[in-house]
Amino acid sequence: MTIQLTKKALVGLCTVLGLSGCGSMDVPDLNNPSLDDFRERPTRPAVLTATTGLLVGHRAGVAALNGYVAQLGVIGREAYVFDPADPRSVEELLGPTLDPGGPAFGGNHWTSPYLNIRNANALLDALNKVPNTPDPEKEGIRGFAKTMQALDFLVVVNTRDSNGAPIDVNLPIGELAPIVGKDAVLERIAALLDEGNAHLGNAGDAFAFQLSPGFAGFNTPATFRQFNRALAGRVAVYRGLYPEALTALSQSFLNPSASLDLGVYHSFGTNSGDTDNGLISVNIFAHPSTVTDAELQDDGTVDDRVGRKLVRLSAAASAADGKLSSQWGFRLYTTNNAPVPIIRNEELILLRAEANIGARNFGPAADDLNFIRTTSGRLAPRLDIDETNALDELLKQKRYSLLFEGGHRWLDLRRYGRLDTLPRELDPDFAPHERFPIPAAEMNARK
Amino acid sequence: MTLRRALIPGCVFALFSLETLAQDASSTAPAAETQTSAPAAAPQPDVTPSPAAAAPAPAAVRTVRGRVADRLTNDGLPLVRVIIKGTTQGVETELDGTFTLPNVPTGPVTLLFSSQDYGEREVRVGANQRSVEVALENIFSEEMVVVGRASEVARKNLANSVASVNAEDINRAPSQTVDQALQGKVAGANIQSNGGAPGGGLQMRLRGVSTINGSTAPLYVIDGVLVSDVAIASGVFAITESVTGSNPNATQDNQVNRIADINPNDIESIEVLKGASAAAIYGSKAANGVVIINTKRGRSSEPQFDVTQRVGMYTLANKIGTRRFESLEEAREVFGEVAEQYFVPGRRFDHESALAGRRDLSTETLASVSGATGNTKYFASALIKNDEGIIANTGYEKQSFRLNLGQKLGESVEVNVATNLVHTLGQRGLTNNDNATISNYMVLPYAPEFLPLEANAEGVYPENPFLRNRANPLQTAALVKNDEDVWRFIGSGDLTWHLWKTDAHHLRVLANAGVDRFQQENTLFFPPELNFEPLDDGLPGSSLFGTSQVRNLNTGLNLVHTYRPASRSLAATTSGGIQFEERNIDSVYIVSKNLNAGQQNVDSGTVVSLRHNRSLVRDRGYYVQEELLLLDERLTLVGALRGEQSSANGNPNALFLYPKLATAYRVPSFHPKVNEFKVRAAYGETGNQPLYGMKFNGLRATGNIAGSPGLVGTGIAGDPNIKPERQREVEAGVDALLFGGDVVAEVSVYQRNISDLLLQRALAPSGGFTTQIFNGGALRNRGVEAMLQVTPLRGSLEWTSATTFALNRSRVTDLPVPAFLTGGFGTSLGAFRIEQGASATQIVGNAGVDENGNPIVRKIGDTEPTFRMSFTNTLKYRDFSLSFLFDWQQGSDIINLTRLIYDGAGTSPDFTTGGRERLALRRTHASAYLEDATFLKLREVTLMYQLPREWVTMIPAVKSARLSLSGRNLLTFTGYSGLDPEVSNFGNQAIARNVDVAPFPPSRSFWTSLDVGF
Repeated sequence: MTIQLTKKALVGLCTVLGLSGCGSMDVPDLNNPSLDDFRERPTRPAVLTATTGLLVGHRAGVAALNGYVAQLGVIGREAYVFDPADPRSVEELLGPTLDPGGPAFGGNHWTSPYLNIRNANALLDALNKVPNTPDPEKEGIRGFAKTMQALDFLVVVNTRDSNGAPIDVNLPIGELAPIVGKDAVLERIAALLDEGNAHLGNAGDAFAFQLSPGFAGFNTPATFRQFNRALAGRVAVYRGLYPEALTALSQSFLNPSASLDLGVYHSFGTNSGDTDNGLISVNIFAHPSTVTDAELQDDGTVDDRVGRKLVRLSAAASAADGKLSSQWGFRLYTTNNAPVPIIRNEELILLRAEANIGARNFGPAADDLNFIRTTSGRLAPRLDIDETNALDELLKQKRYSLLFEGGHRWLDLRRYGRLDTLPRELDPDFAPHERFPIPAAEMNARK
Repeated sequence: MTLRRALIPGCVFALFSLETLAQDASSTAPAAETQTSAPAAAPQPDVTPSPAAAAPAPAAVRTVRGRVADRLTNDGLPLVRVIIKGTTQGVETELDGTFTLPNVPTGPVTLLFSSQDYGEREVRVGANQRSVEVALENIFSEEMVVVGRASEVARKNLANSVASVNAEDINRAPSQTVDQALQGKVAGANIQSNGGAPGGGLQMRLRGVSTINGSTAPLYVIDGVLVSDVAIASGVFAITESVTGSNPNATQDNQVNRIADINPNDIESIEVLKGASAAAIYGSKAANGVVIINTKRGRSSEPQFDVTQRVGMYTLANKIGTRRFESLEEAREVFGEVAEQYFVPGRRFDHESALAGRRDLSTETLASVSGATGNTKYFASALIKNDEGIIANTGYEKQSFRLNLGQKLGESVEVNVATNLVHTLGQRGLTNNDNATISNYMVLPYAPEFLPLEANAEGVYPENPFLRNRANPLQTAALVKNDEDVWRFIGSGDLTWHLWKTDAHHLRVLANAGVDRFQQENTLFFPPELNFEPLDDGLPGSSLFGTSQVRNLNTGLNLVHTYRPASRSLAATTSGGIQFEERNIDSVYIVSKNLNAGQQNVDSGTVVSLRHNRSLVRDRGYYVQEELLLLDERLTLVGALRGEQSSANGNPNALFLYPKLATAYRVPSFHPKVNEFKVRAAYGETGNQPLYGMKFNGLRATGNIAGSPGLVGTGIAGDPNIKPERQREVEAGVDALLFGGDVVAEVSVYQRNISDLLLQRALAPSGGFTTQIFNGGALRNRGVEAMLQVTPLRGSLEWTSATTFALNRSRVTDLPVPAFLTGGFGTSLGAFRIEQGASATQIVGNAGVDENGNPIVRKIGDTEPTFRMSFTNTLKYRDFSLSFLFDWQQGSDIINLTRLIYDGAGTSPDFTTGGRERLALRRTHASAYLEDATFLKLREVTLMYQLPREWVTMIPAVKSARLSLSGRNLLTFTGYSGLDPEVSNFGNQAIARNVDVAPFPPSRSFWTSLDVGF
């Protein structure tokens, strides 16, 4: 081999080596921003969109055909879902057992809220490192994040109830927080709301991040606090702490002279990357007892809430060999970007009535109940409300006022031990589910 | 269509001009007729030309003429060396196999015929005999087989089982795709289609399960280029809702794995490296085996111009059938009162035939020219294929153009360039699982035989009263388009530089570079006139447009040194080299709904959503390899070591090493009938790279709420230390060549252990993560492969027969996580469960309830076949030959959910006698819908007639002509009740194949072909 050849060979070798060096071996994630970067080196824009992200994360399981509103509505006999592609919306939700192994049914409403609780914790941790962000802005984000975390925990405890849930979950991957009882979860929720309220007090005049249109009127630290307190009022009622509930409600946006629809909503949209409101599905029907149980107005027409919220369909739909049937649909959500309430004025008035009943102030409670009867239902006021029937009346008004907005009927009946009053059309042996099981994925990982 | 019309004359013209050019060139160059020195390294072990044996006295000489032909096809064999044994005197045969050997001594002589592909044969020529006809057999044992990145060895010395398939076997019956052409031809390769849709979608599994979450595709190498076999979803799931938000993998779109684009007619040979022991030199992309494809090259000096015209059709091969409704009462029982409006006694419709009964003409035109002129070898081909599918708006078109050039630059440098431009159009129809009840076999169960579905005179299709979305399958087929357009360019160049060449030493540099670049465009259109369009989401009309840009680059540099001392006591080949590879995929999908006036353009919708997905992987590889032939080429020793880095690994700079060791010994003949007997053993390691993204911890930046962007977590924890899976394989076998080549037998046994599996651990969701990716666990495959090729009859009637046999058993030997489900629709319908100590492909399902009423889940089946066999037979009588290939799968199970849908609708053909019981049984037993997948298929039949030479030569310029009738998948013998026991709703899958949900119905194809050689 001559020197000339050796030279040529070297040139060839170098050419190929040069080609092979043409790309770095360190290829980044081309599709997603890095979570590690967000934790270690958060930027202000990332922190701000991660704050808005808590709304996206919290909304994830709300308005799907197998979401929070629909499934709790079915179990609470507000609605039917007749899905030809998945018989479990009848067989499981109204059947004998909620299967913890099915993430879309018995195991639902767990992964999604906990994912968002992790989002909020990652955000709160990042706030300690993010540069260029004034303290009031950080306080605003903290107040918002803790309020959203409280809402996510509320989804968990509302579905799991006495099964309990883990709460100290801001741990490294693989470490498990112990499952604590329902009361401890509710206590944590109340604490988060109180802490959020305190942060919001130091948050200046405006938020640095974007809120959805569903927060119109509640998008400054001062007005957002009224939303925070409204939630605190609901949680205090759930905990049976009636004086605290009344205090919180008094600091909320409760206002009998404002629209009953005043409140905070989940927003939906059909733009790319947005989520649409799946509750417009043609497979959702109103439970017929909603109509048959309704009171009539003085002129003989049905409770105005039924008239406003339900629509009679041209033909009845049935399922389970005709054992279930309904000729009523909802018109609460008419478009695929219709908002779904998180909490609104009408609920606050009813919560105040409930707190007053709990505190044995039946007079004020009767006033609020009659206010709802007349303004929302266009029903005649009831003059006989007293200790013996106030709770029945409250539950009935809550049923119609908060129909198919977030499982209120099921939650309320459970709190007062009245689930047995729900009908059992599928099979008289199938008692209404009291709570969702803790998902198999969670229990398996704890074995 | 217009493109095709323009392309046909264009390419024919181009080929003709090329041919003219070649003829001109060859007419000026002298034909190399009397070369005696062999080009390159054809083995000639027994003939050591001795200069002492000079030609006898010139006084007594004669000229011997003759013809050398293939024993089976009687085709003349070019470039066969003909030497008078004991001398250096000889010639090479012409293109048509004839030769003229002057100056042959008059006494009896022995002529030695030798060629690379056909081995050697001695023929005694009697005194004064002046002509000789010689039939040579394609000698299996002399065929050269690739054993490294840059080296090859004769099959008889091979230390691994490597399956080879040649051009003749690949193209005996027309096929749409390469993988289809290989079905039943390779022992140990289980190749099954995922459904009947035209244009591909087949999975090749070599030696069982190699991974659970990693890549399942074998590595395809075409002319040295690593070619993409990626399967990219069409995006139809946006309409069928087959994938919900929790499962972002669009695996139910009936994807095509893109090796389908290659023109099978261009292929000269295919070699399949089945396991790690053979494929180790391909490192961490070779865990699923390597398929090495070589395309045709110019050979002979005279231009050879071939044209093939094929005409055929596809017909529906199987129907499910439907329940016969004898009375209105029966119809009312299933469909309610509304059935009264439609039930007319005695009126029946066959909707399956109406849907899939199309029998339009399909055509394939092929033209190729090959030859050599001066120092240039060339091969050019064009293919125009148009297959009409059995359902309206389905079919497959392919246009392929190839130009392969080889050029010698002086004495020491050779350059080869191969270019291939392909356009394919797969019209895939609407099939597979959907949650919107619109795809063909999801709707047919709700279209009973008494319901009229045909369009009226105005072209309006009636609504289906039995479905809430009113879907009419005939309307859906007539109006929906699901088109997949691919434009693809594959180019490769390699350069061989003989640096140093002496009798004993040969040092050469091989450099190669290749590019595989394609664009896949998916255009799907659901016009607003469709009955179901306004009802599904309130947004009439949907249009989808997806484009994926794929780019694979690779370069390599190899140094090869061969040492063959004059003593011939050993031959040593040392090679080493480096490779660089890059794979890039960039996909954008647009879904547009609520179309303005039904316009298809995606900007005419009011609700538009986008998805964008990218991946990029870069690899670097280094290797050294040593091959030794010792003891008079009886002992082969091969050792190799590959080192590899990849950007897909957690640490992109970590070097992973893949060693290989192999040996084979050709036992000296111990019996006169035993020509070759070889024992071999090999060990090797390969890897399976992590998928792109497995190492990252990401946040999802695609979400927003009413226009405000929101960043959220993904719930998936990547592993920053992820590394490739590792496969260790031991293989041993025996090869024998008996009775002068009339019997060839190969038997191999293997064990593959795969460890460091890419696993996903399910985390407690309360921590905010659902899954974590990590390396762990191990699984094992053991199997046997055998091949037996016999020629029981020779003479005027010749019969050759080849049989392959393979069986494989897998077992999960170690699992650091609890048993988990991977694929399927849950245990109530049958699902796949990875479980320590169990078969990796087991199907588990509910099997009764325990005392607490909870379902008992246990194994109910397995997709692993008991065994696979195939039988290829060729019968030849004079100018006729008949070939047929049977493919047999014994065992294996299918989860038949199409049957469940029919039963659920109350319309399965045996609903009254079996369907009701199945439905009732399923509540507690998933086995109600598990069926045996045993089948015997007549894959290929070809009857060929070689037109007599005296006829065809009457036509000017024509040298040969052949007429053939052929068919594919003509007969299927199976007890399976569904459409086809080859089925996979989830496409190509590591584990979860054999789930039958509304697949595309299977078809038979029939072809008439005319091949003309000029």
